[in-house]
Amino acid sequence: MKHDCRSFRAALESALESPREGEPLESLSWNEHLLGCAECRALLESEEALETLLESLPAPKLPPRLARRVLARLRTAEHAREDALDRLLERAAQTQAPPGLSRRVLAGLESARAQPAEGAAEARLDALLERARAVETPGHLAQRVLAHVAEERALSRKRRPVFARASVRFALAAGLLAAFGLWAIWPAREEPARTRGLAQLPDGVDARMLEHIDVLEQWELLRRNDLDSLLSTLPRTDQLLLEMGSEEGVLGG
Amino acid sequence: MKNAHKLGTALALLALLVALFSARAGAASEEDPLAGARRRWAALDTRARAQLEERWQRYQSLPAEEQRALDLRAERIRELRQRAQERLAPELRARVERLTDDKREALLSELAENETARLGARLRAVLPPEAVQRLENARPEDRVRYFEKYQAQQRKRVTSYMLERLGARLGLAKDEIDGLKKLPEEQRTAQVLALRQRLAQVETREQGLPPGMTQAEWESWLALAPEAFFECLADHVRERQLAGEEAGISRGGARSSAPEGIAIERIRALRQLEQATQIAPADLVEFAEAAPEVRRERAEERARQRGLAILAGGGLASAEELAEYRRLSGAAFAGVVHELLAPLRTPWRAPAEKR
Repeated sequence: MKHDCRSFRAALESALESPREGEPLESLSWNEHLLGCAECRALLESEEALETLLESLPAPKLPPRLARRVLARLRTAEHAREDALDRLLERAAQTQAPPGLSRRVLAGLESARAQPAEGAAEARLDALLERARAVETPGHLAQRVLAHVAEERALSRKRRPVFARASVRFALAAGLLAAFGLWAIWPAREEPARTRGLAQLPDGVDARMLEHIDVLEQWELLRRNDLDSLLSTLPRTDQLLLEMGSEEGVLGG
Repeated sequence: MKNAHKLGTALALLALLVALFSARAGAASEEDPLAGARRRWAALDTRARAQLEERWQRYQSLPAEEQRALDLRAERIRELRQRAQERLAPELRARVERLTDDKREALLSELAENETARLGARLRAVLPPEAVQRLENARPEDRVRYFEKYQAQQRKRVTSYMLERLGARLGLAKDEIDGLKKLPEEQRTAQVLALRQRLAQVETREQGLPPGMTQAEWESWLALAPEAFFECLADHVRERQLAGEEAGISRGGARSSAPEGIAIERIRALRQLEQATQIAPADLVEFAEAAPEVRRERAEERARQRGLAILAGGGLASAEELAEYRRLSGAAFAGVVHELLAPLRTPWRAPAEKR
């Protein structure tokens, strides 16, 4: 903010706070600064508008007895509070309350409300320990104990590993058993397709054709019907019988 | 609350363990036969896949019986392929494993084909000539049917004969023998092999171990299942014959002897010629990196050279004959070898002439 702006606004503030002592708002309208500063012009215009609005409002007129009634009410509430506490104390007339007890109690309550939680806990612990004067407690025991407790609480608040949770283990076990069950029945579902003999393998090849690949690869040799080929592909026992029969001279012509 | 905590933990651990074991079991059970087939399919190029799919369409159009027959033959070829691979020397087996997928597959198919050719030639040699002629002269579309009918006849004929013979040798009662002959075909065959194994034990007690056999080896054979025992026996007889040695034991139970009228040295040389002129699996593996037709040609040439060496060293051909044989083409040379090996083919005798 420029220096001229600050000067103008200070004059404006003075005019608003002390209208009789300061420069009137009307004369500020002709201030030389406004010729070059649009912001201050806008600010003056808004204040003039507010001034106009306020002047147009009728002056507030309070009820004539309002002030008396409010003050009376306040005095009554205060007396009632004091009377209640006195009556309470007068009831226990036999009780010899230490002097200034009420004051001390109220002061203690106010003090407790004002202190933070940790500090209050520490104060309570110190007060407790002060009673056992015979016990010599190490220095800053309260702080150390509270620090340890805070650490324990922090550890317990950390999230347990996922797999340490029993629910996750149950879910994992159930998933593995379900997968095993699916695998166990899957070949049984595939088997009928294979035994039907018309199954197409995933790559489109006829499974039955692959079952006979030996026949197909040896086709030329198998389709030979010369005598040597026919003899050589006889079952082995038939070949042995031919040789045996030949030795014994019993083969027919 | 604490108890609930512990219960939750225990339940979670139990479920985790169950899931882990199930995953392992699932992983193990996932290795089904289709996994291997899928890998083979994935290794094929587009052209090969289209070829297999076209063959699959043709397979599906065949009658069910013919499909079953093809399945059984494919199973047999797979066994032969596995046997051929197992019989390779360790360094050759390792070399096959180092090949790329397509080259390894081509080589193993060729080994299987070679094995079927060897086995087929060996079995053809034991058939009566008339049967061979009739089957080879049949129309190609009829040959399979004729062959199956012929095989079924011979199966019944041989099992009936062998049950009678073996039963008599073992002292079984006639009723028991008749009962065995009435069994279904598969059980009849199994009984023949079982009785053969029993007879071998009896003969060994009576006559001692077969030539070239140790006690430990013999006892290990006897502990085998009947079919496996018979396989070992047949291999033994074949190896002894190849070496020109007395096998001393026959497949049918009679203690055999060398073919009559032929010197044992010549028999030995002929057996070696028969073995040498077959394409060796080791040769196919050695030329694994070559193209299939080049590989076959080089392997056949190796076999031819081995055969010529046996002809020269075994006294099976004169010098002039040997010079003539060197000028022959592969097929012509194979024809000459086939004629030279005629004495090794078991002479066929009509049933009335059997002992």
